[in-house]
Amino acid sequence: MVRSVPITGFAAVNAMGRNTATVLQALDAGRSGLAPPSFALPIDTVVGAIPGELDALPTSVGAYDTRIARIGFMALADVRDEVDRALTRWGKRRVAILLGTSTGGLDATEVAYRTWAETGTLPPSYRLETRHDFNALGTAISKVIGSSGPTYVISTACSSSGKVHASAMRLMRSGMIDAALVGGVDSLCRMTLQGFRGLGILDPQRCRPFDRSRAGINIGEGAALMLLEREADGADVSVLGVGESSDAYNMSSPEPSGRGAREAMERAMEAAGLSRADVDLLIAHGTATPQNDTAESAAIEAALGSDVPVVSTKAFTGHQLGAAGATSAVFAAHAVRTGRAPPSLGASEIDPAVRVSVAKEAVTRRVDRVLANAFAFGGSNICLAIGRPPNRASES
Amino acid sequence: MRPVVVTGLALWTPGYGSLAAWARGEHDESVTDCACAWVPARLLRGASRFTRMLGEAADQATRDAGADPKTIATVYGSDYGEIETMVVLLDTIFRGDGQLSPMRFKNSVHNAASGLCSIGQGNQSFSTALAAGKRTFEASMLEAMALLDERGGSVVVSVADDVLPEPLLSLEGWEALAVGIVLAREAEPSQVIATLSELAVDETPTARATHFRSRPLGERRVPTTAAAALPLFDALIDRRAGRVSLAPGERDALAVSVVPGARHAL
Repeated sequence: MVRSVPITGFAAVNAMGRNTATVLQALDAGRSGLAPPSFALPIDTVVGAIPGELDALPTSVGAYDTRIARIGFMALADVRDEVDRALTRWGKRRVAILLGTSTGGLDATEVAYRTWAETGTLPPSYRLETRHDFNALGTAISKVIGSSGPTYVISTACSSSGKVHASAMRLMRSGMIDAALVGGVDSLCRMTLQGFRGLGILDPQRCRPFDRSRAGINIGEGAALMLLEREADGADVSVLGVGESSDAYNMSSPEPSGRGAREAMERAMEAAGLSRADVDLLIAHGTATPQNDTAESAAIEAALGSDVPVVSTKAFTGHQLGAAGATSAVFAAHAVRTGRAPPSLGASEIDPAVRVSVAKEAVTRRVDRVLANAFAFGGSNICLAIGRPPNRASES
Repeated sequence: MRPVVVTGLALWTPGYGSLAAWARGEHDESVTDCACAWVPARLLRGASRFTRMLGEAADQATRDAGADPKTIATVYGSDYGEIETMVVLLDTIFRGDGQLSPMRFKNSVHNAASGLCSIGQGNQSFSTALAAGKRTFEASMLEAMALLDERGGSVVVSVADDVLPEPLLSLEGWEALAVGIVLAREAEPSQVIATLSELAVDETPTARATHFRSRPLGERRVPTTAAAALPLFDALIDRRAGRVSLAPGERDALAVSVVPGARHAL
């Protein structure tokens, strides 16, 4: 029976940096990656764009070359050795690729559509099947690494890349796989930026999660990947449990009491065998919209009380939508490994309606167990419990 | 993976509003849209036909199974999802005033049907939405069977894609099609259409075969995502035992062993 699942590699690329080491150094230093967009945009906002030009995909998968795929392959480079080892150990059919995304290849389709609007024809290189398809990145990765296990995308908006951890654990429990490359990828797109502006929740300044003056989100892009394996000697951090729930309340607003979010956290703790006293840190979804932060803080208070340090990292990266959950998972694993978590950037004067301990300073102490939240349009909620493996929790 | 039972089936495609009409070849030109009448109209405002197709297939299959729509888990699968809604939004950006409708934007996410249907039914159970290209039906069945392995109960799998909109249409022969299938860990024998077991990669010629019957959409290889379900649906309707591929024609496809149960599918 698979309960907790060892994390044997992880990677993140986003506005803070082009590789995992740079991203985590910036996180530890409290350095935000948010900045005004470098491209023309009829919107006043800041974004979390990956700095610099992105490398093209290998020629063997050139047909899949999109911005989102380039971002995904940047992250893959940082876990490639571990993935290759897992494929040798478990076999190509026993390693799954389960990714979360909300945009898929929308960035490429936007370019193609604009060309069509201006010229009447799509660019010759544009193919719906390889550029727009939600699962195109997973297919390209499987071709490059040589895997043939289950390869699919969970696309439940901003909970997507949290939910892939749950799917991977289920597939392991059922005996269908022995390892999974899980994570999430999203890229900046006009449609998401203008869509969130239309909803009136795009902050023209850097976002301020849990602050009383918060005025909405910033959009970011990035990828975060984790390699999960059935067993791994010496692993120092694991996914201990997951909790999923559905609000069944509203397409874009959380249930005000935070019921669904609370249920997700309670289910994650139950699955991991944790009590509220066992949780050392909570990485919040923390999008900085007035409604979301209030509902989430009510849920945290109900599930964990008001003492556990709460951190939102959205002011570092922007809201990476389909990559948000996996990015929080990587930051949680980093906190367990290092005993460090950043301050909840942007929270200088906490909203009185937020009755939890939002960390205004960096957290520097032993961290054994972290909860990481991701909530989405459609009322889709996921909470991951990440921490030291049960047999190593008492080690000093 | 432990065996599961099939307790409900559904199918919707233009011209055929139900599994029975499709199976019997009873074409009806008036069937062009899904009413999805069980979802309150206020929720469906701004929802695409694709959303309604997914909801209709899930609802028909759930009712066929006699399962509770307020508690059943749901797995929604689609290759291109809300692509029609996306094109409307892109048109607003690149050929219109750039002011995106908040309602359309909310309904552009891949899990729009999951959200709207859970709200419409007050169903707070597990729900997810996935995509796997031509292998979306296979992935949806895998996700559902793993879910049943973990927690039991029943789950409805609804897989659909609508016609692809201009100017992005590039797949010849693509048809609008939605299928629904209810799986359960166990059920009363009288409710069981078939038992599915031995989910595994199967390299036998039988499992690799892309056999389609002569039912509508089956006379040729239809690229539509949900058409991958048709060999299994054929086997269930015809009460044929044997191995059936969940991703016909695909390399390393998963197959299941089908053993007919007491209940006829139609």
